[in-house]
Amino acid sequence: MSTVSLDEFLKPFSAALGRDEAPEQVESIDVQNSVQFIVSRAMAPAQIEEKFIDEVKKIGVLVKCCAPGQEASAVVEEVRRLDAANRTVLYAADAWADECGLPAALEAAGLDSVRWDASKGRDAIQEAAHLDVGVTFAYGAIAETGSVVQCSSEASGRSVCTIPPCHIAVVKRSKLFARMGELLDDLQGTYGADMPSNVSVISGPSATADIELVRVVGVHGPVHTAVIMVED
Amino acid sequence: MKVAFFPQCMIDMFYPEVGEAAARVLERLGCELIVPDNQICCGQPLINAGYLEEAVPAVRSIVEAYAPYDVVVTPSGSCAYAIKHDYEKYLGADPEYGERIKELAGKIYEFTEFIVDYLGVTNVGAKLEGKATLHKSCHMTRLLGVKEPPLKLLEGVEGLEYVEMQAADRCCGFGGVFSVKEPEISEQMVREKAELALATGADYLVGCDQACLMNIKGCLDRMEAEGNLPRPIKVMHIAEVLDSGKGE
Amino acid sequence: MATSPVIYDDAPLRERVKNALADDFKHNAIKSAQETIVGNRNKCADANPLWEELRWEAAYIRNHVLENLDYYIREFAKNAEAAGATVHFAPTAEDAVECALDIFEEVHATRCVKSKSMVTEEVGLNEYLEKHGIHAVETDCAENILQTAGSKPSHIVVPALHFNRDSIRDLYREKKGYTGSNSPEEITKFLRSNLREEFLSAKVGVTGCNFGVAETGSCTLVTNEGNARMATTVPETQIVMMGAERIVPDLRSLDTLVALLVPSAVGSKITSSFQVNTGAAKPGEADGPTKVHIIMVDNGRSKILASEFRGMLRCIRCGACMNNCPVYRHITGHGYGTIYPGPMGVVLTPLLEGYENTDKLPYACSLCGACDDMCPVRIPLHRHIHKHKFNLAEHGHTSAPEQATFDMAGKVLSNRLLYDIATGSGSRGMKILGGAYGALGLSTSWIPVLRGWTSSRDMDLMAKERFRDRFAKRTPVAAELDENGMSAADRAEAAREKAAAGAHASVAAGAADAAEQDLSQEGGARA
Repeated sequence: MSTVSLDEFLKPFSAALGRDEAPEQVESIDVQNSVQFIVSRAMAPAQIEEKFIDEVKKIGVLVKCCAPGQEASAVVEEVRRLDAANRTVLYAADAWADECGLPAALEAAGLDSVRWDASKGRDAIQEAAHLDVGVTFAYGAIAETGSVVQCSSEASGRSVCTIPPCHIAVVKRSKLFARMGELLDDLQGTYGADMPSNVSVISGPSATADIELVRVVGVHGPVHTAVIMVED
Repeated sequence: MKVAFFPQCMIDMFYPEVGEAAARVLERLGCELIVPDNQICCGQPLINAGYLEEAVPAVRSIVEAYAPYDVVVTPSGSCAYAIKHDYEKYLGADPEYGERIKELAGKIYEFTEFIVDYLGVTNVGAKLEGKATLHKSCHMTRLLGVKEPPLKLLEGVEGLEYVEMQAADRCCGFGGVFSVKEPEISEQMVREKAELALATGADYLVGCDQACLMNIKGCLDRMEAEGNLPRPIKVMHIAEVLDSGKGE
Repeated sequence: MATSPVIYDDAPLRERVKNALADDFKHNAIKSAQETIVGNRNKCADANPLWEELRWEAAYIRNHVLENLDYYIREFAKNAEAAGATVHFAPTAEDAVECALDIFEEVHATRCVKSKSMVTEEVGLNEYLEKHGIHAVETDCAENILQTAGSKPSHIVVPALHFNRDSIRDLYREKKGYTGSNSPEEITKFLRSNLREEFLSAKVGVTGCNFGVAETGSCTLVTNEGNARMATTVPETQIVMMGAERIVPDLRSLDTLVALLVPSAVGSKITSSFQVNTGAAKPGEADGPTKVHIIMVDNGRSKILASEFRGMLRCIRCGACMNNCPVYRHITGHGYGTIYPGPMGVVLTPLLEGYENTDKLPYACSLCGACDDMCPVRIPLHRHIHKHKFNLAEHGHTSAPEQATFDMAGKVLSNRLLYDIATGSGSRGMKILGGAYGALGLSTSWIPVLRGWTSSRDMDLMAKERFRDRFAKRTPVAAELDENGMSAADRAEAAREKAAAGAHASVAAGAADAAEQDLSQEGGARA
């Protein structure tokens, strides 16, 4: 390797800043009170929800609201509605999945399903490639952009919301934030220094406009996405 | 009110009638114009080409020529910008002239800016029948930030209908020596500008920068010579528009 | 003919421009791309009443990082390592590619899936790996088209615009056995299935990094296609390459930067995927990379930091500047001959490659300032380009005849005696040339100094009498007086005396210009 140590690397940068070495501390800037957060703090919860519904529609994503405890049947309904070949479902193995009775609901509906199983190792990824719908339980949602935020974990692999052509995200209304900055704050509060290895802010299906600027939906990521919001 | 006038080198050499129109408009508004002897060019074409050293004599002559006056007006948006901003930015630290450069920056006005913002006038009583479109030159619009005054003044012209062209504030391709250093690129830019102006169906293409107008007019004239001009369009400096219908 | 990974076409500017203009399809494709993307970007900006404030915020955040870049690089690296990544430090492009190669050899990989990254193009990663028998598969649709065709990007965000659907269809028919039609939908579907196998069997994923978050050591990826998600989910090893300056202090500041980046780059509010990756996959996780290597690249950035061009390091590679540039509009990315085209490329390329290799580039600019308007982090791009022009003239990169011409012009335009002579003789000379035509037409384009103008435009003749001479002879016209005998100027003066406030309102751009000067010392006054 012809790379250098951190100290060596930093030398020309420090020199450019007129000093011998990087300081121990730096006075941080106030991002808390940036203009957009002042505005979002003034939003009422009803406004935030309205904004979310609005924005999600704009990016072509279906959003369904349901009462707590009803998310499993909402998922089943959505799976049926989605344009998926055999509709085999891959669901994340979060505690939430069991708590809301998802595995049972899928079986009762006669749908083939696979539970994400990290003990399968890398084979789990290959298996996901043959499945049609991924169901995940989101950390939260962002109203400003109509996004759901997915964290990776042993129970919920990145593959579940990435590899199958359809993706359904279940999210709680109580975890709906006005802006990305606020959600990330909350996330940091939850995880502290132990950030998830992957946090994905998902806003609609994958798309491209690379060919003659013609927008095509469904490229390497999911082709169809839907959101189920539990009104808790 | 005594007003020192900076005609701009192109107007001085190629389009004196524009300078005279501007003079008449200002005089009718009650200004007594002074045109100092030792002013020729603000030096912007050299500054923009990177030749700062070589532009210094011109800059100094402008600074000296206008030092005795309280108000300086120029019918050139780009010159107003150069004098107001570029001078200070690039030569403001000059020990001999720095102070006077700053002083001049505080008292230089573009023609329409002076009439609308300083004198508070939007209707000079001009009359011109037809449709006009405005080329919003880069330096005046984006860099100097004078956007509303020309539009307000055009609105005040009796009989004149304003129609906005697409990409009105896109560069016409003059850029000083850019037009002759990179002629292939400049040609594309001015051609598109001419076509967008024609597409509005306007009778008049108006501007506040004679350099831009010279560029676009040159293109339109060549199109006409080649038999490619779909309809006639008259290129006019806004001073000439504001001078119209006054029976001179 | 290339001289470095950054400059892929070192033919003279004139030649590159001619070649670019000869391709009508590409020319029109770029024109309409500009209109579409800028139109959409403006819609987003107009819909956001805080847009201008956000730009100040973003400039402020990025500037703060630059002013403490040594500290932030260290914090980022420290936290990334604590989260399980391995961070490597590459002072030069060679160091960066050698480091990447070592990682491939360590994991015995000869292929990887790659998502679009400008810095990997800057250091010439793909070519270097190829020389060592490693094939990096570009998975971004446009990049895949370019890679398959062996072509260079014509735009920073939609790089394959110079291909029409027919040529893309033909390309994939020839190279990948595609049997479908020219519809973009069908071709994209084909690419999805064609690259699926690559993704699912990949051992190594290579990505760039939009923003490194110092506080958590995270790397972010902004994508629409989902290829970066695939490339960071399946392979066990991930290589992230990033310019050392691409850092933000904390997670919260991502809100501001992303809210500006996406509209500026693609004209929409958000992309379908925005990932924040921290460290490697945790023990127990079945997917995601178990080994994450972050290669931080200097390659001249520390020198730029020390220079008067420091503000350029705020750049977040959105491409908005070139979307609005009237020169780029016509010469397209290929006219610049560098992987960084448009205004940001005109500023950056000479800083990376030196004036000797890029001395014509700053002239592909009319200093119109349209780029400044678009820049989400308020880099005064046109000022930096202007600074390059000053440097080129001052350090003898311009030709002796040109220097002499400008020197002469400076003298003539500041000296009444010389000016009187020039305009006297000039006027007569022009009359002779213009003759009956009354203007300088095509027939004068053989004269070198005029040719640039008259080959495509007429030029009006010098006036018989200059303005100053006519002014000296004329009688002023009478002022128009109102019923009180006052002229407009009198009234204005009276009002002024009343208000006693004095000077006219400083126009917006002037104030903003001054504020921007406060923000950083860019292109400042001559010492």
